[in-house]
Amino acid sequence: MRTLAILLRTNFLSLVGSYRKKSKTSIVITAIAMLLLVLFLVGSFAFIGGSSTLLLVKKDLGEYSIFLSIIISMVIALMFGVVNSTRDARGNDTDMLLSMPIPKSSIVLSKLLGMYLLDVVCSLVMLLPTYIILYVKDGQPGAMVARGILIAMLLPAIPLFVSLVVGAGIAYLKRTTKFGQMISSVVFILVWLLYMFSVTRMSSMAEDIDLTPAESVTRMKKFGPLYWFTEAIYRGNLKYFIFTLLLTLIPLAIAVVIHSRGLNAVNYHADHSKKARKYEANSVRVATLKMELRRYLSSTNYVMNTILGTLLLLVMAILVAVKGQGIINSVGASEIDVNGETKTFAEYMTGPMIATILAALMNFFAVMTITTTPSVSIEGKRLWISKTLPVETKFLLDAKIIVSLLIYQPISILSCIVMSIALRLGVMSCIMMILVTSVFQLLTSLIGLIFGLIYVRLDWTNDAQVVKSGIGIFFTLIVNFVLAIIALIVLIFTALTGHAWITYALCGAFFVVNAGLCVGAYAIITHYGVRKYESLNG
Amino acid sequence: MLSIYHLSKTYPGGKIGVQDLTLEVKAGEIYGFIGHNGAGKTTTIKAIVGLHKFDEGSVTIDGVSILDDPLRAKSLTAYIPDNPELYDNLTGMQFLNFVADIFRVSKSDRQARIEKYANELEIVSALNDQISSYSHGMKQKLAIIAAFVHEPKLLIMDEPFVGLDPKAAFIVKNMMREFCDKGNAIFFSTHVLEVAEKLCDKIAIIKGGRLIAAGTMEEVKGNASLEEVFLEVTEEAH
Repeated sequence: MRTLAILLRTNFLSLVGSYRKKSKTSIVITAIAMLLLVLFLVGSFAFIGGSSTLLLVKKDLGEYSIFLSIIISMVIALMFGVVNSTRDARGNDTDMLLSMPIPKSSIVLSKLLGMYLLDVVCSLVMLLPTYIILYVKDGQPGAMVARGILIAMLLPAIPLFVSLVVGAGIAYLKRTTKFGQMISSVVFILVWLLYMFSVTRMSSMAEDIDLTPAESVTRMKKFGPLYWFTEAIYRGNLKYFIFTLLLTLIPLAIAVVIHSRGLNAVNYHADHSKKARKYEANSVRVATLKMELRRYLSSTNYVMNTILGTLLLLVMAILVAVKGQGIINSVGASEIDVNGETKTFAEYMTGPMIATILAALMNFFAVMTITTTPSVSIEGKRLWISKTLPVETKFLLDAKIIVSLLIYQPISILSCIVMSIALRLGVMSCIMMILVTSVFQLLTSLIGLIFGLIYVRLDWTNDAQVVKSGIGIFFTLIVNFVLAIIALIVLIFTALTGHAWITYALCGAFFVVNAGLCVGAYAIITHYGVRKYESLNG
Repeated sequence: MLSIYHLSKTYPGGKIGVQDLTLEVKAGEIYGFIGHNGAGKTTTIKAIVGLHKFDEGSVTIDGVSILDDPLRAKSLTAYIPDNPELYDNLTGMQFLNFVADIFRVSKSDRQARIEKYANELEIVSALNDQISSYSHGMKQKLAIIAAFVHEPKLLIMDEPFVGLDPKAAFIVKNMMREFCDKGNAIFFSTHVLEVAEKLCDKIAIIKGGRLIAAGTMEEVKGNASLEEVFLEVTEEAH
């Protein structure tokens, strides 16, 4: 127990230490700041849970409010857990700890308890408002609050189990395939999307509920274990309380076994596989492009911070394809006054007009997908490789631009085609949409690269320092968002002309102006950018 | 093969990196470059391979100026840094293929060379592993194979033996000798004076950015040991 206590204390100090900006900052202050950060992160969900409970208590659905709050807390805990699972479960200190006279069970328990305790804090923060409101407003007994607190402390075992299983799966894939890092990135992105979805859905969840208490029980029963947890808290049902204990403690035991097995793995990456070596030959251009693409895909942070626009674009295309015509039909029934003549909106809206509006919206997704800004800084200490190779600097910079286009353009073009077909916009409108969005994305990529070259940082220790933050990223976003807003105003004005050929002409002019800006930006890159890159000391 | 003529480099803030350094490495020579920490060895090496701009002087590789025609000069050179930071998320094989692609090494040539050097350095079984799983020594071995895979004319090495096990160090020394016997040249920095004494045809000692002794091993050390001479001349120059 003494060793376990020492390990827990050290883990805590290490965690707090990683957030200390300066060595002079007090540990207590840092710990309080961390706690406030956690409260802030989960506080919004606690607020959603609390406000939902208030609404549901008025509808005599107090039990259902516990059910919803449990869902919210489980989704968030699962999200954090799965994000954690994409990281190396062994940690940097495992080898050191295993070399010390510490029982392996203590190492396993200290690591699991560290994760578990953090989840317990989050779980309590999210569920306590619900319990308190039920106690105060719904007249529930204090025993219910006590049961709720106890179960809130047990529930994190489930997401912990899930995250360890996912982590073990990812570790296995890293061992056996070369796509481990990419899988990690995909899991990260999916979780992020789940988070976005949860935030948007949860806030309106309680308002949409129109159930009687009996109907709510029928609905809850469909969710098996979640219903058992709810019953155990709300009614103190012993059978369901035992189920809850089993459902949380058994996964916790399995989690301990999984984690201790993970500790025995020598190294997730050291495979020494007998796979045949591939001696593939490529041209210099292709080799530099492949290297740039690999560099992009190998960084989860890099992918996470730049893929959002592409994903949202895909979601938008699917939504427009599925629901777009319905929206146009419903909106189209309303009447508007055009030059003194009353028309329905459907009569007024033409293919080119819709295409132009969609293109203007798509430009915002392009702004979220700029991979070029961190592409120079991300080379960091490996810059010596590019700089000592007999490759023209222009080739290297071109590769950064092409990667940006490769990540966004195929989805963008596909989205334009899908939306055009779904909304029957016509071939000309489709082509116009592709041209307008393509040239704008190229321009944002070029601007991103210019800022990336101006505000380059090579001395980073964690790629998040150059991928997530940095003055280059800030300026790129500001400038490109301003451009997207200008483009939106121009294109909406263009769309509202109402005449197909005028819209085409104005979109053509938009294309030409943007293409001109692209030529100018590219000229800056091939002159100033090349000189700047060559002067960098990695 | 390598001519450095009146090379000078001052860092922003006034710190002198190299001052008026002149030396020549001929084909077939292994040229050792020794000096204290911060003496200017890495600055000189980085100037030769085009990593650092320099203020004055010239560097030519087989007659090609690194300033005037950097691509041609780099295509004749291979560089192995003291701490090889490689692309961690690539496998060793992917990295070697990348370097071979850039230097336009044919598929058959790269296969023959990679197999030869990887076998010699006993790293074959790790080539399909990610570089992030490599030890420092394995990364060093991979960087050495990447340097030899395109058969450069000039090999620039910064502390090449750091992190190598005794057997690998012995193999690398043999590879260096064999490489220079084919008419190529090596310029390398080291702190291991015994290695320099045994391996080098010529040697240069640098202190505070200035060359304080240079020549064949006999010219520099005479009958004394290199260690004695090094300590003596660096103390004198103080």
